[in-house]
Amino acid sequence: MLGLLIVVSIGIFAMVEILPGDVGNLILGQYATAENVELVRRELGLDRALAVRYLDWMGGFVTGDWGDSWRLGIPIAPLVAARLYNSVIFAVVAFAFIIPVSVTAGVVSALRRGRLPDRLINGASAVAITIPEFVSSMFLILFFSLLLPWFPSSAMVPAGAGPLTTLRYLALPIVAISPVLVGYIARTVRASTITELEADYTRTAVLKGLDWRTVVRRHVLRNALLPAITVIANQIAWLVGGLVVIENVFNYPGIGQLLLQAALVQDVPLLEAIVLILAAVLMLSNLVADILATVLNPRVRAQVAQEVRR
Amino acid sequence: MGLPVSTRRRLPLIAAFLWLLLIAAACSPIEDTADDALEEGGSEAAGSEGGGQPGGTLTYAAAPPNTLDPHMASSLGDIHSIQPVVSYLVRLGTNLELLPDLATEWSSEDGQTWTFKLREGVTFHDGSEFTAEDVVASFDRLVDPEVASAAAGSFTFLEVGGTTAVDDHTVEFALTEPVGDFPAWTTAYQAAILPAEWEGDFANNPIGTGPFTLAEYVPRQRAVYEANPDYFENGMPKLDGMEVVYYEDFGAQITAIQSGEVDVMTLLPGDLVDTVPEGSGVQLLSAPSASHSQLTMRVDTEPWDDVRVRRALALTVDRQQIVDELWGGHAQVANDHTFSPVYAEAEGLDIEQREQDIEQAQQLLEEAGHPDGVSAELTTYGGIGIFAQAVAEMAAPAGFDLEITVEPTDVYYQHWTDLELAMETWLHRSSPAQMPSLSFQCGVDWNVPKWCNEEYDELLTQLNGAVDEGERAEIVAQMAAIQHEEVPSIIAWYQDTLSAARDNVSGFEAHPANFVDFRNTTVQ
Repeated sequence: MLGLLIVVSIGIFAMVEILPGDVGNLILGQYATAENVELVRRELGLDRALAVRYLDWMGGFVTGDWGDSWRLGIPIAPLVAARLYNSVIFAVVAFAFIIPVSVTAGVVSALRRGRLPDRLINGASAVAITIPEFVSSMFLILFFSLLLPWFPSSAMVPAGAGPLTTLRYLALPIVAISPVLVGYIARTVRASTITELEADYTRTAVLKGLDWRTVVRRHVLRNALLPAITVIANQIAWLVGGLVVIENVFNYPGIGQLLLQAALVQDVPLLEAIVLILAAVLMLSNLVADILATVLNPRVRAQVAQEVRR
Repeated sequence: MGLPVSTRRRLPLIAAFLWLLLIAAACSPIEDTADDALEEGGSEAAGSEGGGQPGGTLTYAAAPPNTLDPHMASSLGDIHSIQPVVSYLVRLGTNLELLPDLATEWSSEDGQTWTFKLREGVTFHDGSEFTAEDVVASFDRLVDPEVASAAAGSFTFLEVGGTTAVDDHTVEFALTEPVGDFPAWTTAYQAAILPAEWEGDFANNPIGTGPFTLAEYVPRQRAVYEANPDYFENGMPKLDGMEVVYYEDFGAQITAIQSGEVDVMTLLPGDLVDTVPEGSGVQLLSAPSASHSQLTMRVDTEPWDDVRVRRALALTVDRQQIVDELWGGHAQVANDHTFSPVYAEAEGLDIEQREQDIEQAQQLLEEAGHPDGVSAELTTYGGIGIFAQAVAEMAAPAGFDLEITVEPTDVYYQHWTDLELAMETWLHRSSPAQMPSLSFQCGVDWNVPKWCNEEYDELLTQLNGAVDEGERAEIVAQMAAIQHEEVPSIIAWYQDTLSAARDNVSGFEAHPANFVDFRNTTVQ
């Protein structure tokens, strides 16, 4: 995992190096004189060799000194931390909405397989998966912010807002990113529920006289939701860092917006910090997904135990 | 059935683990910054609902600043967050008139030594008194090569030590050459007056003499201002406070003003004029300016070394159509020189307007030895690609085959002075001499067409030194005529500066140089 992070960090340095454009020009603006650009480059240490710059940055990064943003001139760590905090808040609220809706839809659809509710849910989720967030967000702003002034068009929660106000500000962006996620999770849950409904042990349970609701609750869902948990965990990283479009459309101060800005102005130390944080979040959420799958699934657990014993 | 039972036993544990994860993620070291910001804001920002009071609280949208250091400002986002907090020596009015700000009067005999009388009884936001020493320190810092202020490139006639305090409230500028309208130059974005003892870091040390004090600043998110009770102009500002919300994207700004989340948009790009139609609750504010785009032609390369070819291309442009259709009327037709009628010296210019004339263009091309037309590459960037495209289409019937390359802005500005045909936008400058000095004088860095005309340079030197208005107007007329005849670059329009405000806002105007002045603004 550490090795991968190092590779990622080298990759970013190399990519920014081959990008066209000059940091000095980007910082000073278009009317900068050549002498001033040179001065800025010297101050940033850009006159040194690439490898020297990388090692210098790396040394600082691992010892906790993330340095200052080139463009903004402020310390990076608190800036990234504040943005990550905002993104995590957003992800938590979004999941609190998305998970119940999608799991319910998937289960209902599987239990009513082939009938009207199933066809409705299945059709809707097929459509939902194809709606990208930049389309849904435009329609949501148009209808629920401009035509009907119910929700603010920007998600920049005002200073000192309470939980209810915060929810009101986050409502539109969350609904905007939901279609793809809800559709995806609902379809996964439906498929796995159907598999479990058709499994031998389900028939055994029914045949031994268990009440149908108990069978579903105790046996079918317990097994059917396992794949869903993996799928959901895989979306965490996306929700925390991949919301570049949504955060820009709704002006939400999350880490995705900061990532875009850092990339646009070639703010290397800021870019490195954000990408490494996001890579770590991605790896962690995959790890958590694996651990959860193990903990919840005795079969995998038994396998692991066996391997350990060997 | 061991499976469900063991899972069930674990469920509470798993749930608890998940919650712990979430809570850990939500609390960790991050809390300090974010929560502090929230709390400070909570007590100080009244939000846009804080009406009922005399002036109310205004919320405006702006591009996020890259720096708050006034002397280092380089973007409009910087200016729009800094200007409420600071004052200049001279204030540039919305009609480009020079008004007293920290200086009450100014004079010069020869244009080389300027004396400014300073306002008395002014205090900085930290309570210290404003004196001539502060002006000296501020201008010394502005022109110090080690500071690398963007203003240093303009103040080529001022050196460190050139500014001296005559007494507590008189300051003298000894310039290295005569500058007839030096007071206009002191309105440069960066030339804000800060305390002599100022220690840097404006975000945490926001000490100016402006109408508002900076109460809170969250980079890339928002800033909160409070009215300065000790502001030197009586009865100003009228607002109790302001909040600026930063938007990375103009689209998001438009929806915010349409839905009433912000009251003012400090800058509206020309291509978004249609998004605020009349009767939408949002007023479009516009101010004629000298901002323009230049299509530069390298006069040291074939075929642009022939003035007939340059004139031919200039003759293909239907200027009125560009003004009407691409600018929605928010621009003025220009005549291939930089002297916009917004400058007092250029008000009475009388040069025949160059109109579209394809036949004459073809004839000129033939005379110049290009009966089959001319092919060339026209390079530009970002938002003005559409104008380059329009020119290319208008020029095609006359035999010009222009291939357009639209680059990212920063890429463009790395090699723009080497391009054969280039197009870029120049923002309004406070003195009419500034554009010629920057981009048409022989041999200067930003002379993109590499044009050199000794008579023009001679006139520019005279203009720089001339103090008398009538004399200045005469010189400007001659310079404009030369530029129009020689066409080193096609200047087809002067664009208006655009802002937008909701109908409940009064006392806010668009400014030709994009300054923001909220001193008389009120909001219902």
